[in-house]
Amino acid sequence: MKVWKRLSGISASLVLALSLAACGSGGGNSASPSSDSASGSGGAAGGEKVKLRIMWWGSQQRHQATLNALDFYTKQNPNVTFEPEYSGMEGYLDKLSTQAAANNAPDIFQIDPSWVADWASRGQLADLSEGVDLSNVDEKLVNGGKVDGKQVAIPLGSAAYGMIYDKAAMEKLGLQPPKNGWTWDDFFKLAKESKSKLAEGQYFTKDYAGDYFAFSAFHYAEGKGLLVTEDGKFNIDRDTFLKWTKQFEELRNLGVVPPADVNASDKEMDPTGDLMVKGKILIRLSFSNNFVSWDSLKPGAYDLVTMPRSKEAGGWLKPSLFFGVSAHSAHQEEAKKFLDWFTNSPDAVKILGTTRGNPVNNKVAAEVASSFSAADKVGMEMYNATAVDGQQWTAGASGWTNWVDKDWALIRDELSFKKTTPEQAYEELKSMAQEYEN
Amino acid sequence: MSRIAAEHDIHASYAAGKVKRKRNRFLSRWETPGLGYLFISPWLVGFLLLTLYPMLLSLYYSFTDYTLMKPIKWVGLRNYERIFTADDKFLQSVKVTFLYVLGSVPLKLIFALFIAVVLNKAVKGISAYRVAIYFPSLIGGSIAVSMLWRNIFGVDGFINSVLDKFGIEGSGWISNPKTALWSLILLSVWQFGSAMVIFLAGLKQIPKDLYEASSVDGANRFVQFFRITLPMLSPTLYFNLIMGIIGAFQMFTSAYVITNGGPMNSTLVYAVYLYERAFNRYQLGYASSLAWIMLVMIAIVAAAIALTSKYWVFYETDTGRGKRK
Repeated sequence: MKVWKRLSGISASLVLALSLAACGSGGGNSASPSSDSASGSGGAAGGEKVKLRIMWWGSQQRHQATLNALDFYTKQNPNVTFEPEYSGMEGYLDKLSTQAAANNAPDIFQIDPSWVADWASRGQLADLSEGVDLSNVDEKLVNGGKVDGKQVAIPLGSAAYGMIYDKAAMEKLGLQPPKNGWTWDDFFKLAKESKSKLAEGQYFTKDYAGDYFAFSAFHYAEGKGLLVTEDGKFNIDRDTFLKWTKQFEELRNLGVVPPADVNASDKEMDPTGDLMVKGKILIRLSFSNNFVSWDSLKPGAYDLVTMPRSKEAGGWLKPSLFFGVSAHSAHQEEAKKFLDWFTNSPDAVKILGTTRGNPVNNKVAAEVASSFSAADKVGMEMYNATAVDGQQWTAGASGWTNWVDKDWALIRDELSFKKTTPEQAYEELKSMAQEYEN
Repeated sequence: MSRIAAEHDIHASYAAGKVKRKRNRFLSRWETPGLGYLFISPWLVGFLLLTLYPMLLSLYYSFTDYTLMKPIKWVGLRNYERIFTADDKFLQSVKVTFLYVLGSVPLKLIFALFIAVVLNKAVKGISAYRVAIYFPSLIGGSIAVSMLWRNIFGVDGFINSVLDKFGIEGSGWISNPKTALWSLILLSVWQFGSAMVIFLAGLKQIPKDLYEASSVDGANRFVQFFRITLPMLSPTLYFNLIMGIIGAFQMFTSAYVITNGGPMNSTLVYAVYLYERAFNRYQLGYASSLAWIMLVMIAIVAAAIALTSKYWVFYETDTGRGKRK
């Protein structure tokens, strides 16, 4: 009896702990879905005080630029103030998901293009078809934020996917830096050539064998298209996957990619965790707009190059980020007005630079381009080089986020720790994909 | 109305000398139960609203395909069936969790006991020492310490730079599947504080004369510890063991912050996996099933320990008697 009494107490505390975990974050903010001010929100222009919660991830540059933009907006619209929440990428999606699960998402939040479909299908994004002027924005970008004909997310920038390399280190080692338009053959050749020149504890590049994005670029370049078709079918070409993973197996055995534990410790753009910033690797994948952040960590050391190609181009342009408005927000009208300003005002574009990619409003971008920094211009150069024949980016099928984030991560570690063979890895990815196919 | 009637009845029976005093006392205690409930209401409301209600709701969800978005559909035992038959990650997380419990609980208890014995000395200013030692361990479960841990055990972390001085090449402790879980277990040992305080209180309860008597008989400190301290402390140990196990089964923060279940799912403890299902994949029904399975697992382990307790837990009041039987 006594035992069971105690156990029931135990179980109660357990479930309490579990349920509390669910509402852990976002405490204190109760800008919840209550519709009290919804009736007046249409006429909020009249000066009703509104506080918008806004959340994004990014680097220090992006934080600062965004905060400046928010301040500027508040000065012009004194009735609107902001409660910004910003962080690095790590944990961002978890935090946002948890808030959204509790119907407590911020009014405006930044999302990755690949999440748009998922979030829209869960009914968490407000309809923004009216109220944000997107007439000067490239149609491809606009379409990236559309689901079932409704505009549910506003594109914030456009970026090209390529590589960033440590120019200074390569020159010092006597390696010929890559040039725009180089091929995957060049890439692997350069990697093997570096073998005799690298210092101890230094490597050519990351172990990208199980990297979803790097492999996507290779898959594209080989002319095999998307890893998952738009209608949600597993589409990895077996031979291409084996070719890729075996090339990296060779690099691993040569020692020009880091051992597994070092590889797994990499934290992109983290001043103390990024393998390239620490001088351990020479080259890694990068979006054109991230150049600014890397450049700020080691000014003048880096340069960008297009993604290697083979039969086709390897890189692509994509909408870098979107802003969505919570379907539960009580201030949707004010949020839309802010997003309209964020997209179309020359002031905003000037303040933000390319911290979220090339500005989406082409007209305004052309007007203010001269005011951009040198680092911004390096990014724009790679962007333009990719734009020539880059791959067509699509948002992809919905519901596969976990496959990309968790299942690929497992394969990545298994490959680099040599716990699996390329053949097994392929079968594993394929069988894990079954759970997501629709 | 009825109360007056009852009172009247009692008085009447008193007068008649029919009812014994005992029964009367029992009745009067129950006459005004409302007041008692009022006193415990802060706890009661919390229990009903924040414990019982979510618990029952999660039990219900565990039989549905609840995903937040779509209307809830009853699926019977399908979640449980899938967990037990077609979920490799579930098996992995159970394995990792048991390893963690087996590693962290004994180490933490031994360490807590050791510190408690050391701090149970009559030295001048001992309270200051106790505070100084207890205090840091309070924050052991925090995010900040988890971040610190990540840096200490990282590839270029503190540990490796010390090893480097001795010419040993360390590995990335938290990015290597062989050592990652052990790094987390070490962090749990740091959270010895509350167990230590309870041990300390237990140590203070042990009568001094036992030690005096045994030292007259020639027992050294070592013998005293195993023959007096440990048996006398066994109820405290029992409590700490059960609480430690329950806590360890639910471990989340450090595995989530430091390693996020990786590398290669080597630190995928149960709560992290549950979180992944609930908040990355929004399968709240499935996650609720996982939660109830964990509850049952903890209950079974705790019950097993409770059953063995009569063989190793001694209460001062029932020595002798327990032996004779």
